[in-house]
Amino acid sequence: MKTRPDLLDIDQLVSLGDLTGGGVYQIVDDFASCLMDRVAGLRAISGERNMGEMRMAVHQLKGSALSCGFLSVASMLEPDGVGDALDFSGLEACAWESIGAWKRFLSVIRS
Amino acid sequence: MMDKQLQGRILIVEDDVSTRRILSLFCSQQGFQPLECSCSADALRLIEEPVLAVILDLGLPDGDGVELLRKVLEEKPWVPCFILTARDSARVAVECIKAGARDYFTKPVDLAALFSAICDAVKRLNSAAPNTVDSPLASSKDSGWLSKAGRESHVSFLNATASDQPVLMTGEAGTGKVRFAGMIHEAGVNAQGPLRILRIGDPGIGCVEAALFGSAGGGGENPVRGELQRSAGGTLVIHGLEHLSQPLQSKLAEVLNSGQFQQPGSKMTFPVSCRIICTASADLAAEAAVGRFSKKLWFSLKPMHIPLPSLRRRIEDLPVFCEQFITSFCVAAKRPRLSISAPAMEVLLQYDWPGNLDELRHCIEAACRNTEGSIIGTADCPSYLWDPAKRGEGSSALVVGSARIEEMERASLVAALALCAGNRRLVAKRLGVSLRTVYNMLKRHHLAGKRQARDLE
Repeated sequence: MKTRPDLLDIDQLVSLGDLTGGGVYQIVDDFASCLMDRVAGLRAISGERNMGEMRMAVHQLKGSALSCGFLSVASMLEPDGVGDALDFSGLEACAWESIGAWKRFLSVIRS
Repeated sequence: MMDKQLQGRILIVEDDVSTRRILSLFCSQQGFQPLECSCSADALRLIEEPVLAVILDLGLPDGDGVELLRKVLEEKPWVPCFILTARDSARVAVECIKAGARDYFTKPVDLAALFSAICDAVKRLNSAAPNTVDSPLASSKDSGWLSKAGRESHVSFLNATASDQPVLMTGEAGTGKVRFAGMIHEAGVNAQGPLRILRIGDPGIGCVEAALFGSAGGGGENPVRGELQRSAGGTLVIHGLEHLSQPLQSKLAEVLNSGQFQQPGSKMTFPVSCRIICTASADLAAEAAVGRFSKKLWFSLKPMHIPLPSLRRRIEDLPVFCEQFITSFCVAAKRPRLSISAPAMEVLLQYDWPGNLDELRHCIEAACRNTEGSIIGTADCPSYLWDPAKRGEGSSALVVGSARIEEMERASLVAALALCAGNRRLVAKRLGVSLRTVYNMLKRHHLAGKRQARDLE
């Protein structure tokens, strides 16, 4: 299966890897490993209707996604728009796809 | 190998763990030492430590990032702050820059650009504002000061930070001796310990001996710790050393030589485990030469003696000080950055600043308050600086002037006495005055000894 070109910012990941001697990949991999848990956490907070907490959690996840090159996930997270229901199904699907894309990228980098 | 100017700590305030880890990793790889935290409260605690720069995320769980930025710059106005945000908002960017941020980056952060900006800012700080604790000047041989006197004091500063020897700083009132002592502490080996200041002559401290050494208490019970113990692991600044009584001068000399001390009323010996920095406004070499200051203490402190120059001796550095004071004022007052007009700067450069940096700071703050626009003009400065009539008629100016002539006369006399080993006739010859004039001068400056009557006979 081919990776959708918009899931990851490959240029950013390669550049980060070059700048850090590959050290950044462990951080991104850690993010990928906990991404589904964080999305589930968002869903739980959303159920509590605590908008302040929700906004902060979305902000943090978006920041992580941007820093780790998970472009599509980041684009689905809008802290100012959390009043409107977040598309959790779409977000989960996008997160799964992005994690898969990341794993493939990592295997290529490490091979 | 990393540029020595850039070694130091960078505070990373970021609640998002992945971004924080990436910044920290890159920071370490660039040779900096990352200090990480995820909230405003921790940031305000960590900013008290020496840091070269701050990377600050705007969205923090316990407060507004812009408000935190203002607080950080109130604490350390010279530290360059770089803002990170997930939102590309021009309004927020303008707000941050107005609040004093050096630059603004949106996520995903271009690490190369961010650290290039940090390195530039640190280098600029190093050359533009050398007298700041967190500036990397502590490891720089290039002080950035324009004046010879400023460069010399910078070299002394570097030497002082490289050792833990006792330091003596002398200089006129207002030359920043205590501040300089704080800088040596923060850049020195005892930076992790406390910095305590004992102001001799301050009525609040009561018995100086007890304040310095503590006391054993009645029957050895309820002992009171003195500043020497309270400063353990850090630095004790003894401010106004010339006001210390002669017996305490001798005792302090013993302490410096032996590295230990006893509390009054106790036989127990305690080790000195802090660095001692003494300051004095008087010329202690001259005072020691005429017996008004302990020679033993003078010779204990002389190896690391840092004479701080008066502002008029380093007038070339005045624009740098102005810049620092304006920045501090604007940050504290939450005002947009001000600049100073060329004519106003000329006025400041023409004045001879008897009150040194303290006087300059007060004048700059007054000028900033008076300025309605963005440029400080001549008329915004206190009128005695630019109105010769007020400068001339002001009694304070005359008093200051005559006081300085007195000081100069006393200094010449003391120096001549030291050079002529106290021989009044040689002193008279050296100064080109009569023997009687020498005695009149000695009397006026309270330097007359018992030999006067015998010599005049």
